Formats: sequence, structure tokens, C-alpha cells
Amino acid sequence: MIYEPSFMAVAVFSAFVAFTLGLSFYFAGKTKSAQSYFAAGGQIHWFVNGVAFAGDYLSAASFLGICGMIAFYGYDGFLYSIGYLAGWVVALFVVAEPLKRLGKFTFADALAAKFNSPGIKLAAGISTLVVSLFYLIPQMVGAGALVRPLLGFGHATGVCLVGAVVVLIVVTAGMVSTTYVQFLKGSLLVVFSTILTVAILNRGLNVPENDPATAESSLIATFAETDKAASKPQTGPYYVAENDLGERQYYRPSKLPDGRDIYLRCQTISLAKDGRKLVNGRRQTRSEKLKLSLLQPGDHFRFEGKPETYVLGKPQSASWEYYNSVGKPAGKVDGDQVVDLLASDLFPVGTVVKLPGEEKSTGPLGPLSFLSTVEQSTMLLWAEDKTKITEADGSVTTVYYPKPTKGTDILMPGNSPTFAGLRQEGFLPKLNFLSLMLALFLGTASLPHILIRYYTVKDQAAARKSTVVGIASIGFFYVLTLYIGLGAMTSGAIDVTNSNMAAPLLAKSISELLFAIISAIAFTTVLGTVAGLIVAASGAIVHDLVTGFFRVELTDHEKVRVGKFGALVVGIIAIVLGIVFEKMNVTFLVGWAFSVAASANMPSLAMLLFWKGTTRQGIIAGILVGMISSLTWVLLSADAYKDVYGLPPDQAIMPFSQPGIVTIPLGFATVILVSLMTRGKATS
Amino acid sequence: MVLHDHAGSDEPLHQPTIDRNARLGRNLFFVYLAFYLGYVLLTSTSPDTMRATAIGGVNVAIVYGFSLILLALVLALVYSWMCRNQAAEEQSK
Repeated sequence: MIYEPSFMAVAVFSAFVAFTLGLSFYFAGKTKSAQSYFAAGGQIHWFVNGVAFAGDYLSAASFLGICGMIAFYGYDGFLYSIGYLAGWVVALFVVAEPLKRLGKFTFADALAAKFNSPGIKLAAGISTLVVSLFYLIPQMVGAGALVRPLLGFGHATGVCLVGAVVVLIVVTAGMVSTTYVQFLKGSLLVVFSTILTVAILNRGLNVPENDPATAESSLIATFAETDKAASKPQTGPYYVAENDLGERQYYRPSKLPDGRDIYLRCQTISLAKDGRKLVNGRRQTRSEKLKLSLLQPGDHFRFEGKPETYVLGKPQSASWEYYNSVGKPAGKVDGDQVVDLLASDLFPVGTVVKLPGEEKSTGPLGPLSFLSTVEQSTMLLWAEDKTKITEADGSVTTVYYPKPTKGTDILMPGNSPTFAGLRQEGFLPKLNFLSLMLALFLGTASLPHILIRYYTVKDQAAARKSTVVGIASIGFFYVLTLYIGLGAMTSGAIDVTNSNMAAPLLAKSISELLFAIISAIAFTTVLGTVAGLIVAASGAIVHDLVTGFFRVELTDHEKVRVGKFGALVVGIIAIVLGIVFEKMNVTFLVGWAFSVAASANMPSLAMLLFWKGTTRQGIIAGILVGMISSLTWVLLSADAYKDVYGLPPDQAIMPFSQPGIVTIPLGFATVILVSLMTRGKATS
Repeated sequence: MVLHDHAGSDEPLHQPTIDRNARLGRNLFFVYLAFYLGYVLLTSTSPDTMRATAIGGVNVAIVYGFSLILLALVLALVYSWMCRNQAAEEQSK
């Protein structure tokens, strides 16, 4: 879909950036020591830290990805919400206190505390860098994906803009400014998600009538309309109707519950052999006033102040032929004449087909009655046909087709392609789900940018209290994701090609101001998380690698300087990766980052805390084996084949995508085995 | 405007306190783990249970999911409260 950049969104976002940069420069004068640069001097109030946890943790993937997944498939997105939150239980009950007690700056500090080993610092430092960079990719790609529809810049511009702002925030005042950016972002996110949810409940559920979007998108494509389609030979599972103007429309045959045949109108994006891109059979245009010579053949237009619609033909010397809506020549016109070019685009979707008791509108609903009404209704969901259709003229078409889906299926796990295995027989299809749930559970407490936040408060009690605040705000937000996602599903405003835009488009369907604010928050979401990751990575460079492993003696001041330089380098790498990986799907990259973090860090951390027999070598081996095995698995999985290398996914070596269920136990086994083997040496 | 935390530490680093907090954390962790495992296993093995209506016309899948989020918060509050009580006890000794 073509998005009109919102001036208000740009204004709100600019105001936020100006404010955070102002804050960063204000704190810059006060953050001279390494302690204040890397850990905010351990002086952050527990409440601020707790909300900053939420700001740090609720990344673009959480906000946009989960809401989008729920809007497209229902309950399955909520599985991520549950897994992401469960991880905090591990962080609080198992990791928080020892980490706070044993370490000072980085996660490696705590691991190496018992042995004072440069080897552990090296392994943990590398793992911090790998996990941070892995986690940075989806954040930066997300920034670029957002910036185009919301602010109207290109992908690379968006990535550079976000990268530059974040690097400035981090280099000026390190963890102090990062904390306040995250505090601000966390608060805004929770407050405005609540407002959005209240608006959704207040609007209730409605079956649209005579709405132009539904008239076009609804399944009630009349028989008169589809007779023509049905008389043609099928292309794949579709009937393709071509009108007098040569525009193709796809229909998918389906049956009504009473047994009647119907033809569901689909949406298409076709790439012609000559490189032209057609959307629903026409060139994609926005509505604007233009000189006729700037239009292209096939464009629909009106003469100023006239109601009739015409289609432009080919130019002949200085004049252009044009046709009426049934393809009959209607006249010639001079190329200099200004006309109204009509919009031609994918139409927005997301509608309720049937409410319980054949009602047309529910009116305002409560939190429980909203869910139970969804469960008893039927929605029109849309899916992308993964098999592309090659037509006779060589053009390749991607089809998005509507699927009337019962609420009982929407509010059950297993409706999305990601978790479709849950509705299949046997154990193997379910492994991907089990593996992901394990990785999410153990991953949170292994994410370096989350762990370093424990060093910004003064003691264990403050660490505990801030985690409780974090769990409260994050948990509350995740409950809201279900309402926001289902609200988007029924908003009539969704773009079938871009699930990440579901939440902002939902806001737009409520009010333009809310859209501007939600879009601006989506950006600051990226800023907050990226800043946290860059601080974590630069801390690892200084404390784990430079002073920890290479034993370079640095003064306090030099540590800050090296840290700032590290932040700059990591920032530049993040920008480059964000541009290179533009096409990658953001959500599963995050799942992978969790898997790598959980496989590399959790086994060593847990064994160190719970088993006295753990040795230095066991920890190093555990980190390296967990990290390398999970990375290798991810890179050889079907998803990587499909989305990274463009190879057929069935050639992939690994049987499923999420490595956690194999590589996390492997990490534990390595720590135990190597510790047992090296135990004698350690005691002697 | 800056909310910094300057109050003195309310919790001495006593080994018995450390051990007791760790034990408490571990127990609560296992309580949550049991509920989480139950959810994951039900989701993957018994869709009919998840589909059944629980409260107010809402199915088990949603009620269980919301409960897991609520349980995390409740256990976190219990942990925080019990650790504080132990710390106070230690100090009064």
C-alpha cells in the first residue's frame, strides 16, 4: 500500500528526538567516570530502572511484530507475549541477585568473578557482541521498514537516521541517557497502548455495511461478476477475470456453509516481464493532480470537476487517446492538461463477517465480553499464497486471498504458518513450538542489554524491586497486545502485505493524532532498544575484551573514551547490517537472537550458580559450544535457506528452525562434561 | 528531575541471607515452571482442552495465558516481600 507520510508523526517524532538529545547533552557533563558511563553510577532509582527495563525489552518486534501477528493470525502472536514475559521469572528468581552481587559492569564480570579468568571474559565478551549484533539486525531493519510508510524516507535513510540518533545518545552520556530514553519510551508505550485498547473496546465490533472497503473486499462477489471468471480456465486454484481494459482480477473458489459456490475476490501484486508492477491489475498510484503527460497508459483519471472516469491510452504525437470504463475510445486530449489521477492500490482489509445473533454492531464492550464476542464471530482474515503464479505473458503474480475464519479458530494456537505444526498429528511438527518456548523462557535472562541494567541500581533490593516494576509494566503491555492485535484484525485498515504496520494503521482508523503518536512511539521503541544494545556491546569491548582479556591497563577516563569509540563502531556496523538485511523478516530474527543468547549464556550462568563442580574450562566450553552450535543451526535452517540465501527451504539440513531445544541442553551437557573432565586439574 | 537512589543499603551481604534468597527464588521459579510447562504441554498436546470455555465465555487458551502473566507478577511480589522480611529479620538479630 502507498502510505501518505504524516506531518504530525514527523513532528511528534522530531520533538521526541530533540528532547532525548537535549537530555543526553545535559547528562553528558555529569558522566565522566567509567562507573557512570557504563552503569549510570549504580544510582538509578528502582522505579525508573523498572520502567526502563520495559523500555529496553519491548522492542519493535514486541510492539509491531506481535500486534501484527495477532492481527493476521490471532492467538499465535500471543504465544510470543507469554514466552517473552515468562523469561522475566528466570531473570528475577535465578539471575538477578547473583549477577548484581558478583558483577560490576558486564555479564562476563559475574561469570568470571569466581575464577578471575581472562578466558571466560573473552568467551563471554564475544558472546555478548554476537548476541547484541544479532539482536540489532531486526531492530535496525524494523527502523527502516517503519520510516518509509510513516515519515516518507527511504529504507537506508531511515536506518542511518535512527543509527545516528542512537549513537549520539550513547556517546554523550552512555547508560544515563540510555536509561532515561528507555524510561520515557517504556512509559509512553504502556500509556498509549492503554489508550488504544480503551478506544478499541469502546468502538466494539462492527460488521461494515456499504463501506467502500468491504464492498470491494467482502466475499460476496456476485455471480454476475464472477460468471466471467468462472468461465475461464483456472490458474492454479484461481479464476482470473480480465475486463475490457485488460485488467486482471483474481477469484478464489469457496463454498458457503449452505453449499453454494462463491468466488472470493483476491488481491494481487504482479511483476510484468518489462519490470512494471501492477497492483490488483493496475499500476499503483496515489490520488493527485498531475499534467496528463506525467500519467502512464492504463492510469484511471478524471477531468477536473467532472464525475466520469477515463483510462489513458497510448500517446500519439502531442495528444493522448483515452477510453471510457468499458474500453471504448472517448477522445483525445493534450498532454499539458491537468487532470485528477485516481488512486489505485491494494485495498485495506480486516473485517468482521458475522457477529453472534446476526447483529451488525455490538456497541462498547468490556475486556472479557470483547474476547468472548470475537470467539463467537467470523472474521475475514487474509493470507499470502506462497506459490507464485506465472501467467501466459510471463508476469509473476503474488496472490493474497481472503479466508473467512471462525473466532474459535482465531483464539486458538496453531492458526499461523509459524505454529501450524500444533494442529498436525505427531510429535515432530510440534518441536519448533516447544523449542521456541524454551528459548524465550531462558533467553530473556541471557540477553546482555537486559542483564547490564542490574548494575544501574544500588543494591539487590533495588534490583528486585525494579524487576517487579518491569514485570508489571511488561506483563500489562503484553495483555494489551491481544486487544490491539484483535482490534487491528477488525479495524478494516490493515495492509495485507505488511503485518508490521497493523498497530499504526489501527491507530489511524481511530484518529490521526493517535496514529502520529503511535508511529512516533514505534520509532522511539527502536531508539531505546538499540541504545541499550550498543551500551552492552561497548561495555563488553572495554571490560571483557580490552581490559579483561588483553589486560590493557586503562585509566577511568580512557575506559570511557574506548567505550565511546566502541559504541561508534558498533553503531556503524548496526547501520550497515540494517541496510544489508533489508528484506529479512524481523520477527523470527528476534526468536533466533533469543535462541543464541539462551544457548550461549544460560547454561554457564545456571551451572555456575547451582553446581559447585563447575570449572573455568567448563564455562568457556559451554559458552562457545552453545553459541557456535545455535548459530550454525540457525544458518542451516529452512527459514535461512528461504529468506537469506534464496534457496529451496526443503534442501535445508536442519529439521526445524528454532535451535533452542537441542542447543540449550547441548550447552548444559558441555559445561557438565568439560567440568568433570577438568575438575581434577582445577583442584590440584 | 533526576530520580537517583541515594539511600543507604537496606540489606547486608550475609551469606545466610544470600542462601535463603537463592532458595526462595529457586522454589518460586519451580512453581512458575510447573505452570508454564503445563501451558506449553496443553498447547501442544490437547487443543480440545484449550478450546473449552473457561470464564465469561472466554476459552482456556486465553484464561491460561492471562493467568501466566498475572502469576509472574504475583510471584514477583511475593519474592520481593519475603526477601525484604528476611533482610529485616537479619538486621534485627
